[in-house]
Amino acid sequence: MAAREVKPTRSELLEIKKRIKLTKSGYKILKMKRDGLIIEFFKILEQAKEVRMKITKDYELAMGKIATANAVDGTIAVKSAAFALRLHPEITLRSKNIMGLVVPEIETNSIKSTIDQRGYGVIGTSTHIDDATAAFESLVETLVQAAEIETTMKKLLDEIEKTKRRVNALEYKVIPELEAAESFIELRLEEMERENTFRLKRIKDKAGAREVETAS
Amino acid sequence: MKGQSLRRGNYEYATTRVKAKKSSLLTKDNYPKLLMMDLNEIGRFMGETKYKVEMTELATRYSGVDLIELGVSKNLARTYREVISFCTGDLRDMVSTYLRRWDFWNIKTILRGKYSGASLEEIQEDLVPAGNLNEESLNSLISLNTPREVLDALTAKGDMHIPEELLANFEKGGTLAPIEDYFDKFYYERLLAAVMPDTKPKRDFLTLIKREIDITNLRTLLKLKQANIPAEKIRTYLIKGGRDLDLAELNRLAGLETFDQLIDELSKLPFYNEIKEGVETAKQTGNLSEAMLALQHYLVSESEKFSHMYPLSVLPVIDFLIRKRIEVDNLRIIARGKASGMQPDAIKKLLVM
Repeated sequence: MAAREVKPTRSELLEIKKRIKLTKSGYKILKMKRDGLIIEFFKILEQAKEVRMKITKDYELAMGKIATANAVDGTIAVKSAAFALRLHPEITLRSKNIMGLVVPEIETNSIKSTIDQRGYGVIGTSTHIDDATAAFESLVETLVQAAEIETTMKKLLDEIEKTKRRVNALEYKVIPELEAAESFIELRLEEMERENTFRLKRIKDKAGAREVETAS
Repeated sequence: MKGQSLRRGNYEYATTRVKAKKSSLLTKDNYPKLLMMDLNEIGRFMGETKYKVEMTELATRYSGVDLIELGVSKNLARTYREVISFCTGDLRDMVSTYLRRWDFWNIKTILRGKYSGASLEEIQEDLVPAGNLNEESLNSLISLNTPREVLDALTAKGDMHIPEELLANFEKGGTLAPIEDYFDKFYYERLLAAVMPDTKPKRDFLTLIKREIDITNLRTLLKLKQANIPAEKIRTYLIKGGRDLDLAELNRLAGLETFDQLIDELSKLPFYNEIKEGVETAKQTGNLSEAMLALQHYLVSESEKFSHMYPLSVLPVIDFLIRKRIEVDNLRIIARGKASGMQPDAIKKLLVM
């Protein structure tokens, strides 16, 4: 808001003062939100690091197990066992609120299964295939967990960036402009006050002179 | 016995053929050499052995480790079918009933493929026609549309009866697992019935089958106990007809509180010393791999022991079938292990020698 566009009136001054107060309290809240989001982000970052490490570990373990199953039982047996299950893991997507930011909460309860729930026969399937199945179930579960954490992290980053832009806009543009407008109005009002005083003095002087003329 | 041939088998001819075939199996000293080779060298080595024909046939469609795996599987199927073809009389009955495990294997693959909607080519690629069902019979099953149609076709052939209860459960949206487990039980039931214990070698063959049932039951018990599956559920997977572990004993073992208690109880088995190391590793580490391998080793040593007792019986034929299977497994383990970057020592631990 350019100071020159502001009407230098008392009501405008009152309005601007009100807006400055509101903007400053908004600025304070946004700054607190930004700091809060950053603290949350670092918490999630730690979890994300841990889950990334877990993915690497689970992936290596699962690949090792499937390599052993492929070697001992053959890819033919492994593929055949994989054919036995038609169901795909299901997830439930919910949302939770972190400082006003809506982030996903992914829940799954159908990934891990016991030996007798895997669709293939228990008697004729080797432990290597069972181990590989369990390892991949674990990996998928970790991936779902990572999806939740990494989406939250991405959303938090976007929100921090957005809040930072808002804080900066308030700090470096909106508040200074409002304060400039306030000073301008105050200055103009003082100026007008002085002009008025001067005008009154002049009128008083003129009236005094006219009285002297009349008396003489 | 129903379906049992009354004709005496050609034991002299068949065991001579098998002896010749056995002599061409890879010897123990071949494996360390193979472990030191890379995949191309293994492929070349196999191209110079009895696997040459299959490797050449498949070389236009496959390469690398897939060529080796499919080549050895095809060779196994061809060898087994050849053994069935040169056996006659009661020997043929016993051998072909023994090899029906491959029919069930293929039927399971077809059912699973149909269940998950796999393509005909995908299913065909995964079949190993090493049993009584030849490629033509298997293809006719593959061409059917649903698992139910496959099961009906098998029942219509008359050599298999699938309980209505299992079919109804499957129709209600259940999985194929109970049907597959039924096949495994049915296989051993039929195998036990196919061997008439009228001679000493046949009685020993029965002993070998019963021991295999013991080992299959032990494998099931170990993995289900470790997974904390309830005893009443475990009992449904146990196969009757074992030698040292009858159903009552198996039920008792299934009812034990913990996996460790089961391991402790196994020390009472007459063949515990043979599997002790693997079983104790399982107790310490929770990894069943070595215990399973020890059980497999034990079965191979038993079949070898029996085969030397009666050279003109079904036993050397069965021993050859087991040894051939182990050779194929070992070659695949080495090739797949190499392809996935496993260390030679780790591969060696998985081999049965």
